[in-house]
Amino acid sequence: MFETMFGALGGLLSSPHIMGLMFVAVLIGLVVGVTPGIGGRLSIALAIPFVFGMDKVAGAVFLLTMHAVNGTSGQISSIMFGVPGDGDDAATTIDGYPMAQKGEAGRALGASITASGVGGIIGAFVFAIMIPILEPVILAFSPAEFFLLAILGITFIAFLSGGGNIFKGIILGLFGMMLSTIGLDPTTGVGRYTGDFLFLWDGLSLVTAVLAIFAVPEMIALASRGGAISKVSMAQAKYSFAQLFNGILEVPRHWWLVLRTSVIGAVIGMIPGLGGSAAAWMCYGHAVQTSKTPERFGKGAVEGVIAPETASNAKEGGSLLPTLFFGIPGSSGMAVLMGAFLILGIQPGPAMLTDNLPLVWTLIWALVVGNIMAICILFFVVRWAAMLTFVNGLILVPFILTLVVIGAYVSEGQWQNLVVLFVLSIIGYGLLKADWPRAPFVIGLVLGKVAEDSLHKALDLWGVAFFWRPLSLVLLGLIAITIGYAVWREVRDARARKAEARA
Amino acid sequence: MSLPRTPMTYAMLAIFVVMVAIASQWPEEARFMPYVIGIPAIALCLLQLLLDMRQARRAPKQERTIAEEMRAAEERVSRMTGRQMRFDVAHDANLPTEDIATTNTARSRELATWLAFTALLAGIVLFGFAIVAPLFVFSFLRLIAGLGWRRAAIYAILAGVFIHAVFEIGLQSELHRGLLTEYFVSRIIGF
Repeated sequence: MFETMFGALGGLLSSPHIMGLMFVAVLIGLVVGVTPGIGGRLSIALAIPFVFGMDKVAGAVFLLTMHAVNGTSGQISSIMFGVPGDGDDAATTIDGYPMAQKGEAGRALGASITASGVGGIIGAFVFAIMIPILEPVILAFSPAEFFLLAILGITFIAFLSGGGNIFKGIILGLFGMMLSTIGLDPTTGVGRYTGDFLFLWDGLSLVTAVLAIFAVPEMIALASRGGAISKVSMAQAKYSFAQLFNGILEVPRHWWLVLRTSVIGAVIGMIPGLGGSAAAWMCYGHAVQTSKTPERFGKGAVEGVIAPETASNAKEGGSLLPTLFFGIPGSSGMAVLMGAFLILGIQPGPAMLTDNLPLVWTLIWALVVGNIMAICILFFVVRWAAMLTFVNGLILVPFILTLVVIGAYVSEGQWQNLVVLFVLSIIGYGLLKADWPRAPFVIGLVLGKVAEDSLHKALDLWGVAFFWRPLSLVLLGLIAITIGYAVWREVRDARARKAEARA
Repeated sequence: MSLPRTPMTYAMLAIFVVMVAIASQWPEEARFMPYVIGIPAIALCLLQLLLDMRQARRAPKQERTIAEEMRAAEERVSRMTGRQMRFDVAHDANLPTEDIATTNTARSRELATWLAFTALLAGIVLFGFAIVAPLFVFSFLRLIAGLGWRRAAIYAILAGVFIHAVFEIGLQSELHRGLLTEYFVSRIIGF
């Protein structure tokens, strides 16, 4: 165990090629995190064409590092200008922005960057500690449970991303699964939904589908609304390096809070679908609850910056666990990452524990080293990084759309994929406009093949009786509870709205 | 009774019905998974249509402003901690806002971007990446983003050089040359 663990660290640090790739990944991840309009999952999808041809370790480390440091720079605009980069950063705005207004931007940034990095590192360690604990559970899963896990994964993501309507999320999860059946049927060899098109025999290109459903609609929406942040002045970004250093010291001063919120964040990350926003808010609430002076919160308390930042980055380590060992992505970003892993030849599942443990440890160390690199780089460039907030989204659009088209083509070298990209982009844009959650689609598409394979195996082994296996019953119960709770919540909210309207 | 307002639900229903209908022509083993997914999906789409009809009778939800979002966050943390919270940021009237385009400008930009994207795809299929990608970047920056000729041209040249250097030289990927370009090249070589 220790040999594998430290062997992976040695392998990572002694490879100039991988360390160089990590450095590039950190730079890209930080730039993407602070640039408006480009989210973490979009950046991974766009980076996939660059990792074709890399060996699986280098490619996986590159993508994971890029994804892991995304959130570290996301809070810069929240603190300096009160504009949260995404949902994860909203909680940071509450105390970070008042601190900047009081002339403490440097202290807030120093604290948030360090907290975020330390959170990422502790999250990786929590994941590492969980491996031997969960090993027997992971290895106890059979094909029956893997089919139900796929359905549970879609249900969780549908519940949490559906904005009050779980059915839309499940429908899209099933749509993703349906599209995953395109191609030659593995048992009969019949072409399913392939028509006369040979390029569809191997199935629908995952990269093309992800780019079409996420990247193209986001870019068209960004182009429609513009996107330059106005009414803010760079004068707000003035601070001294002494202030920044003072902020760094706030993290060791609040080490107990950092440790608790990191563990909470990592554990939340392990629950598929809960995501960074829930982790950030929960830890913000925890910091308020445990403070001796809660009245300072919301007016510029440094703990209000530290707690959400630690949690939202610690969840990355946690969310790797269901992604790598169960093949259930913890978030839409992880779903895209998992799709990229599949393209690189990494098959998530229990075999990661038995056959690919050195790779798992390399990924854990990549999280640690990537976060340390991100902290070091950000301290020197944070002031300039803030300038990226002012980039006009319209100027980014043609470059990103060109990269999207290249990504769709390079994935299989087939021009017909560009037609698929166009058709799915129309559906993706329709989903965005109609406010349907798109994350379950990716998870359905990624898990579809595994689910079909597991279902066939389970039926061959146990027939329909596989539903009555104890672990299957637990998973079925979780699916039923999730759907039941979502319906109850919707009914309760509808009644409350009705009562409010009457009053 | 009001008609359902969600065309997307109809679209999804139509997609699943067509996919299940197509699957019905395959052997039992091949159609098994499309049935396992498609039939519950059709049932869920019908349920969603019912929910859409109910929702159509209710008033549409209003988009919340940043200040309202922050007030909601105040309530959320107050509930979570059991004490009344008050965030300064929630009451800051000068919170920066995104430069959201007016409805008409947004619509024309939306249409222009779709046309540009369609032209990009069609252009690449016919003429290839090397010609169309820089041309697209230049046209978009000049006509939609409103950049000057010189800056748009510099960005377009840089994009072309980047694509060639990274993908064709660095990653050794052979980018599509275009159906018409290949046809003409073969004709010229043929002569």
